[in-house]
Amino acid sequence: MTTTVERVKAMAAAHFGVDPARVDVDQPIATLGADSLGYLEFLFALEDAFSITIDQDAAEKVPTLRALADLVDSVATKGPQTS
Amino acid sequence: MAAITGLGVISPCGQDTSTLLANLTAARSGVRLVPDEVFGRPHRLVAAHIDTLPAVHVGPPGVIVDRSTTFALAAVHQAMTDAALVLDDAARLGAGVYWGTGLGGACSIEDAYRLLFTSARGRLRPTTVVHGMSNSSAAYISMALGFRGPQLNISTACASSAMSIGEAARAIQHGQADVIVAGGSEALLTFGNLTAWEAMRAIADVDPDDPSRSCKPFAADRSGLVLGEGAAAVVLESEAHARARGATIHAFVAGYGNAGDASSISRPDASGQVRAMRLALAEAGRQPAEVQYVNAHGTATQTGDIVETTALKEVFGDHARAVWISSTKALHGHLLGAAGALEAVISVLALTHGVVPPTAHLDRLDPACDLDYVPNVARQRPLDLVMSSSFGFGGMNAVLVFERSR
Repeated sequence: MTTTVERVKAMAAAHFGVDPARVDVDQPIATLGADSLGYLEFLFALEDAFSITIDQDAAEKVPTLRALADLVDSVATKGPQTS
Repeated sequence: MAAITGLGVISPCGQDTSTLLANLTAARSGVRLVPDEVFGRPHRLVAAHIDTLPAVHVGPPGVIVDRSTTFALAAVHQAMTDAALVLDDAARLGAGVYWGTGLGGACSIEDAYRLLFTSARGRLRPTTVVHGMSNSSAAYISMALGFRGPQLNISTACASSAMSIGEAARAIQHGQADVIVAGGSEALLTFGNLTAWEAMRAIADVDPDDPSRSCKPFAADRSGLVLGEGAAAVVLESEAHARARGATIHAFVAGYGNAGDASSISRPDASGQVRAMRLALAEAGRQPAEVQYVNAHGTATQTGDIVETTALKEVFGDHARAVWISSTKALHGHLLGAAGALEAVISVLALTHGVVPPTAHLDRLDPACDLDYVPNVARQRPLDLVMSSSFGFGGMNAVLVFERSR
């Protein structure tokens, strides 16, 4: 089964046009080359893919894709969103 | 006079200038039935659609720009390559971007509203504002090129990009910049926009024998315009700047006329068109009889083609029957805010190649349209002076006069 971090990594590679082999989930997200708007678009895509709503402030503070995946998991385990 | 040193096009009749000119000269149409994936319900609508998006990498990673911006950036890249223009940091600081578009990032806005109104979650993409705004393409062009000089985005319906070229030429003439990239882009073949045009009853009926022949400017059986999409760009330089770097000068913007009808939001008025043509000729310092080719606005609406014919007769007098006139919209459709720039590029190609593309699908003559519209077959002759007309909704008229490089 694909873990959340693997899914987030694959989505980030596709979204930012980076070779998946070169995405390190423990490196700063900034190494993907995203500016703030590009990152917001990525969060939007994640929210769609996982049917969740991500807290923007929390998402802006996570340092790495692994931490972002943990954030996704923490929201997803709260159950389906109604918004 | 501003020199034109670079040309670029993304059009339904070709995504480079040679393909475009070859298709127009052979009267090969880019018009066809609207693809089902564009229009969400059964229809009989034609348009000049771009099937294969140009490959351009733009903006920061992870940001997908509006469709019109993709066209714009590809056309600008072509024009810059054609101009072989490489500017250092100091020169880029003074270089300008003058762009034109009718509705800007309309695809982004329509996508956004579809999500908002129809999905249960009712959310919008974070880029909705910055990709929907009218100056989004101009902004991405300036970022792609690093041009930090004067910036202008003009939205005067179908005259938008003709005005962007005219105003850019004027800025160069007045010493406000040595280099300006100008042009326009439009991507309005969306479900919402096509429905809006349908509601206006301005769209051509589908030709029952051949949908690609549905747009028939100046013909007795014309039934309306056909919408198209795309972009066109020109690199303008002061003559001194172009000469100093040994650039190939395709043509000069010899004159630009800008005049209003102030009479109707949709119905054109010959008097505004006449004044725009006269102003352009006056600025060029040329007589009407010197013009050899007019790339007409010629949208193929019942009224529009007659009004334009009337205006041409008033400006050109006896010469009206001698000057070659064609509307290339029969083939590439009406690119709205990008139309003026596309037709400016076509006019310059006509000048440099000595070939006038025909008005296609002109088999049945209309007694009310009785000039020489170069029906169906291209013609050749050396050209020195050509005119391109763009008349926008709201009665906003722009006319450009181009002179061959000497």
